[in-house]
Amino acid sequence: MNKIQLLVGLTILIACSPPEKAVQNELSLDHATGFHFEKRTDGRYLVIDQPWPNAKKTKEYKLDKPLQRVVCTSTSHLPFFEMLGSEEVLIGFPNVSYISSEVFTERAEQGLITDLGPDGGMNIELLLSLQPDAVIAFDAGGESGNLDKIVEAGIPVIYNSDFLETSPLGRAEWIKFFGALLGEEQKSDSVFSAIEKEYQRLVEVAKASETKPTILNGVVYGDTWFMPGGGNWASVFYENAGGQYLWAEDTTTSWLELSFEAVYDRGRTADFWIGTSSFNSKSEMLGSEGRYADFGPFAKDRVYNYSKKRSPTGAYDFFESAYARPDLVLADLIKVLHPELLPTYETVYFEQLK
Amino acid sequence: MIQQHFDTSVKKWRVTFIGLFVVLCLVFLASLAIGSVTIPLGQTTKFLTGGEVENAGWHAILINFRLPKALTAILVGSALGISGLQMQTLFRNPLAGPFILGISSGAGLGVALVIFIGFAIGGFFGIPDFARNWLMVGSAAVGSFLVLSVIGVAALRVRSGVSLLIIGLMFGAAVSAIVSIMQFFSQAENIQAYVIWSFGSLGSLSWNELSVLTPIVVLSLIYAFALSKQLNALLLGETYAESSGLDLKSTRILIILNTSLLAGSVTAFCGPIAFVGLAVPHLARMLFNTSNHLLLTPLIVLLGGILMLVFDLVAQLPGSDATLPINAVTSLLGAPFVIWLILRKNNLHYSFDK
Repeated sequence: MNKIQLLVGLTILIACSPPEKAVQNELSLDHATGFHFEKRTDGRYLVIDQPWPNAKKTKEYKLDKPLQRVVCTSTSHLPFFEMLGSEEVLIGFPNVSYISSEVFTERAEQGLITDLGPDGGMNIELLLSLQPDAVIAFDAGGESGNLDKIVEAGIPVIYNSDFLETSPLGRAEWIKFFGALLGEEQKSDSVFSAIEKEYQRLVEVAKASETKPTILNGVVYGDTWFMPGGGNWASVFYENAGGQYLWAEDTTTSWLELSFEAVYDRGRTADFWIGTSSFNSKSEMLGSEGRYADFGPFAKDRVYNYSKKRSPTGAYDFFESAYARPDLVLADLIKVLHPELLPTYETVYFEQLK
Repeated sequence: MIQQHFDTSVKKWRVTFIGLFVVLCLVFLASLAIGSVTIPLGQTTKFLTGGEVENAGWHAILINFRLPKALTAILVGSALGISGLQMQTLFRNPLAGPFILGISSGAGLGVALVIFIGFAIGGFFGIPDFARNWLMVGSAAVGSFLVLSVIGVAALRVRSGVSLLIIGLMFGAAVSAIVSIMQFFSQAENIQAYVIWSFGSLGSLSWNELSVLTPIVVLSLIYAFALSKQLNALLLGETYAESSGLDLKSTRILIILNTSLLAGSVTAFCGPIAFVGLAVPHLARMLFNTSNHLLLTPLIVLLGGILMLVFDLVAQLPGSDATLPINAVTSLLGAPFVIWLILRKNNLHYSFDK
């Protein structure tokens, strides 16, 4: 009798213990800071520490059975499905014409991926008719009205905030987020380890460089030059590739909005100009803004853009697949800045503008 | 007695004009001297008087950035102000202005057509600079002329000023809708060229472009001054104007041509600039207590130039590398000023209200 009472008491105690309380943190992540896993009494959880910029609360998802039917909203998430061999899990995407990946474009043509919004938005009715297990979404500005509607309709929304990571490896480590959700955890681990190893090898290669060329980024829009902050993903890449970002001393992780003359003052002396938005030739650049000609890299023919790989519709594959493959981006940048260090390598994303 | 009154009035206006001109010169100097990059005032005056500037970078910034931008600001302020004045008198409506009557949208449609068709045919930026500039101005002026003409024709049928404004607003909305549909059907990079334009910008004009804009605006302003007598007559009522021997029809067409050249050319190069066209004529009437176009025209040229230079100075956020969009500054600073003036004077001072 006493034993039974004790047992009942214990059960109640366990049942009442707050579920938020982590029993233990497991599978520690080495680079990503935006999510982690927790093992609790009632199972494993995926915790997104900051689901959107400046979010006050975390989001948690219980990991029970792997997702079978998924809709995702960012092209930059697609490579993870491919790398994990889970292409068939993706059943819907808003505006498939944005997709560069051949695999997914083909699947969309075969009708295996439903276009949920050719206008760039999300057609909620169509989404509901698909009945996915979950929508993997991102929310860059706290405008989640549409996402809330999906939740109301009974379809779970899983927030991915990989874009808040400030290191290239941190962002790529989000493959483990997809691995956990799709039931491919081991694979995600091994794929990431290989990328990480290659990245670190390349960092060592770049250390052999004798010079540290200075780098300028971006183009002017109207009166404003959008420049990645010194704490941004791009800045870390330049540093690791043996370069020096002209705004490296800045600590902003997002984008700086600079006046053209401020950039002109500092940027004219740059050695390289990497990343020119939608301009794919020097003549186009000059056509839109003649003062670009005064910049050092322009005269020395050292202007590069991520335009080498483009989809038939003109979309830059860089924005789709580069976040998942920091090793390739780093190798490209080393090849651009110090070609002598990787003599036989061919760039994947970057090309010199003519 | 009458002679004496006339003398003091001439003296008063002489002082006003000289005073405004001095202010314009001072603000012009300030806009050259102040910006993201610190350049000592001594060096700026040296530059203006044709002396040698110590630092080659400073010289490049003054000649390539600040001087063209300051000149653009003066042209934009004057042109939009005069265009607003002409519309307010022509439509006998204090709410008329390039923005509200859909003239900016018309110009925008012209520019959008050129950009999108240019890209569709192949290589908008491949067209030689000079030809492209004229193409942009031409299409913007045609666009604004068409919108204004339609409103002008409507003005013949519809007597009520408010109805006319509503027609203008509807027209503007329809034109904007056409532009967004064009955007929907076009490639990302074409949209970008249009979106950059639609931000509004004073600093993106090169000397090449200024060499096109300056003669158009200056000649149109001189012609606007020549139209002053006809505008004065219109102000007294159409019956009066006709009985004083004015050819109403041709006067209307001339004014519409003049104002669409002013607003259209400025909008083509700098994008839609809000507020100035509507507000500067009111400011001039209220500050100087006159509705005589012979006086108002030069007053608005000076006042528009001064205000635009001041707005641009604020947009530069002196002391920081960042900038604000010019459209935000014009409306944010301008609106309270107009409200304050109206409250102080307790009414809008117009002879056409009578």
